[in-house]
Amino acid sequence: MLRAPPFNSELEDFRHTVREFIRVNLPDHIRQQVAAEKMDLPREDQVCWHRILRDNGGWCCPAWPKEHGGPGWSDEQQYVFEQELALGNAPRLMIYGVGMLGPTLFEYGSEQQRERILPDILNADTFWCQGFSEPGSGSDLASLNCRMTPDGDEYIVNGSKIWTSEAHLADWIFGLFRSSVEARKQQGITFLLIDLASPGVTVRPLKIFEDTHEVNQVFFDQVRVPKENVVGRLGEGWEIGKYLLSLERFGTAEVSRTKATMQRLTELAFAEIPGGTRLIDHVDFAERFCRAERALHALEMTERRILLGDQRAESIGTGASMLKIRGTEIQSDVFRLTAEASAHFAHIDIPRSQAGCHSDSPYQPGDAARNYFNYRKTPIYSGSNEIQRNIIAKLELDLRS
Amino acid sequence: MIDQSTFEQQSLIEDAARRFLEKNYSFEKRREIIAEEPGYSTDHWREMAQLGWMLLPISAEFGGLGGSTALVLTLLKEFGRTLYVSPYLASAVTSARIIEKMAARPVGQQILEKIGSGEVIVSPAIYEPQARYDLNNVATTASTARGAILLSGAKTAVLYGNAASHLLVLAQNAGNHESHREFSLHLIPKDTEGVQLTHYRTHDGARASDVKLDNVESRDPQMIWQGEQTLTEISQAMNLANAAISAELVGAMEATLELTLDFVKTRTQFGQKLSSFQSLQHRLVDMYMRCQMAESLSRETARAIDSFRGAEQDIMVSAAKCEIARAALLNAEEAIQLHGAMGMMDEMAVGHYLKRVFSLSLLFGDADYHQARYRSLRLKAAS
Ligand SMILES: Cc1cc2nc3c(=O)[nH]c(=O)nc-3n(C[C@H](O)[C@H](O)[C@H](O)COP(=O)(O)OP(=O)(O)OC[C@H]3O[C@@H](n4cnc5c(N)ncnc54)[C@H](O)[C@@H]3O)c2cc1C
Repeated sequence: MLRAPPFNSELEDFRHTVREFIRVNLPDHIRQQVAAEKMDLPREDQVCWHRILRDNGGWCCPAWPKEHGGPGWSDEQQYVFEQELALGNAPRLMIYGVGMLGPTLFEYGSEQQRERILPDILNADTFWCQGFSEPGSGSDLASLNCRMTPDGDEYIVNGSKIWTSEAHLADWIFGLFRSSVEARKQQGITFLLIDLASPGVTVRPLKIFEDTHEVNQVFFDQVRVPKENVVGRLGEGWEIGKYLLSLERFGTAEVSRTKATMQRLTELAFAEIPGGTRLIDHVDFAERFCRAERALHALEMTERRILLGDQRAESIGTGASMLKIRGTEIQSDVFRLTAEASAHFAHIDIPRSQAGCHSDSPYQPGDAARNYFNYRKTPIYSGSNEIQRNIIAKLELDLRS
Repeated sequence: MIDQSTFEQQSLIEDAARRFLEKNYSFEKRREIIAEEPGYSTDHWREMAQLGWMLLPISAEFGGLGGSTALVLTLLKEFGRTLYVSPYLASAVTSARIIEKMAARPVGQQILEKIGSGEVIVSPAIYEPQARYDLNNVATTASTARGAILLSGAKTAVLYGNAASHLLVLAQNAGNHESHREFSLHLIPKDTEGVQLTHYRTHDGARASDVKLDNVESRDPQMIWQGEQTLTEISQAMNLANAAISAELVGAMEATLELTLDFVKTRTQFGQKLSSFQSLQHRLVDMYMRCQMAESLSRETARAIDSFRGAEQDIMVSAAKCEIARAALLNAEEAIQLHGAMGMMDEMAVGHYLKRVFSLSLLFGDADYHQARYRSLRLKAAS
């Protein structure tokens, strides 16, 4: 078996503590959803798990310093913690509030904003979503034109944001808005916080083709936003947005999530089939299975080298792009393999909500294929893999047209 | 190469099918149809029967139109283009071919006429949960007790079991020795006592069923076929079925490419059409070339089925299914990727092509199965 080298004994003890904690404290009904590869959990389940972690020394916000209620961990501890969450089928951390907005406010927020907003994130009283993309501005984010116009001590916002994950669960949205039209489109963009309960905000659900509701279009019609909700300086939004996107380091490649998926596939592959042949004894399957394992190991060791290696820097630069590309590619491969592994069982389309317990397996009928379909989103979102390749070409290899 | 008259006939079928589907099977109409039971349009079914499409795969000897395989595949390809789902593949293609292979003339002709007129829908109940796609692995037994033949076992992914009036059940005769196994095939009315079906939707919007057989009496001796050749004949019929699936996949690939080309030519980012990015152009060229290769292999399956039997036919069909299934899945994934987030939307057709292609690629043997079958045939052939 390919296994990553262990860390020093202190960290391995830490790992053990985390593992035990998850085993004992993670509620079963939440564990099951994650084990079935559900990414977007109902709000009450997210809150429940978040608060369990919070009450254990602020583990809900692993990258936050102690002064803001986080555990103040080292990079290594954060890395191990994320690994154990994934392997223990615990939910992903709340990405928008905890992963993105919190650290952005540490860096760019006013004292007053930090005091007002951070405690509600820490306590999971407020749910955030991210409003960057617009119908006409996806990869070309800087072309965004959802407008904010000053009016006394308020801004009036008009336009719409699209593909907004979890907007239907959220209370607030942070995002980039057009505050002025400048020669360079990256200028004149402002980072703004908007209460979704404001008059003039409409959240329209959008359905994904395998029948889930994760994303939305958010419309702003003459929405009034107090000026104090601007983060950083007016027109500084692009820089803040870039900073925010660079924050996500631990877990973007989803290495440990994919390892957990691989573990489920392994069980399927090595299971004895009464009257039949074990899947792993089919050479063509076995070869694809082994190839996925090798690729995943290469990725894991690359991730470690980038995040925890000797030359680790404040910014991991194009390493983030590489991890995102390879991580989502391998993840997609493993999901496809799992769907195909399920053979006849893979066809069955019983909505998750209606599936009874077919067996002990966390995958209910239809899940394997549904997951394969649903995870097609990962090479598209948070900067498509094509855009990430453009970044590597330009910044790492110095290839320019 | 195809001769002129086949070419003309193909064009006729293609035009007729395209017109019919354009009129009756828009993406929106399809959505309504698959949302409701029985998961296909019975009106279309009747109309298609009137158009003679169900007689097309049945040979003239048995009262059909005896269309060449190329003609049948032309129709299926059109189905693939529009994501058309119905019991056609199960009944008019697969079951009809199995019955032709197995039945003596008068008996076979009677059933085939009814399949051909669309009155009767017969679904093959061949594959079993433990067997994956291995036709030789049959745990369903046919045993004789007090003069009656009784079937017991389980079948899975029986296409449109909800709509079928009859099931074509493959069983192994009880008491067989490992070294000498006999198989038999039974045409069983679905309402026979002991037949229990669980119906479900499949991801592509079609329907299928799991079937339990608990001492089901196979009553009519005319409807039982057996002999040394049972499995071989079924496997040949499955070749036609896989050729049909491959043709559907090719149709789906073509449509997916067209959708994607339309999209990249209209969507603007960075002040230019997506189609102007060279890295995307290359991806589309690769998709296009995979379509072309798939089309050629699909035509080869038609030739193999009409001109060869045995290993020569098997190897061609498996080569095609394996290559086409992989290519179709890859193209569908690429199509979604090139649509960006729009590609994930339920209202867009492109994701539904991925679902259909995925289902078809698994049906009657996935790419791995056909790759293994190809390999083993290849190793047996002279070097
Ligand atoms: C499930 C899901 C959740 C999401 N959640 C959020 C969210 O919460 N908040 C938010 O703001 N956004 C969210 N997004 C949006 C996501 O960030 C965008 O989809 C992504 O940035 C791509 O933009 P687009 O969809 O408009 O595709 P486009 O930009 O239209 O791109 C279409 C295709 O063209 C390619 N392409 C574009 N430009 C180039 C180029 N220059 N060179 C080569 N190829 C190119 C792209 O890679 C892609 O393959 C989400 C998306 C999905 C699918």
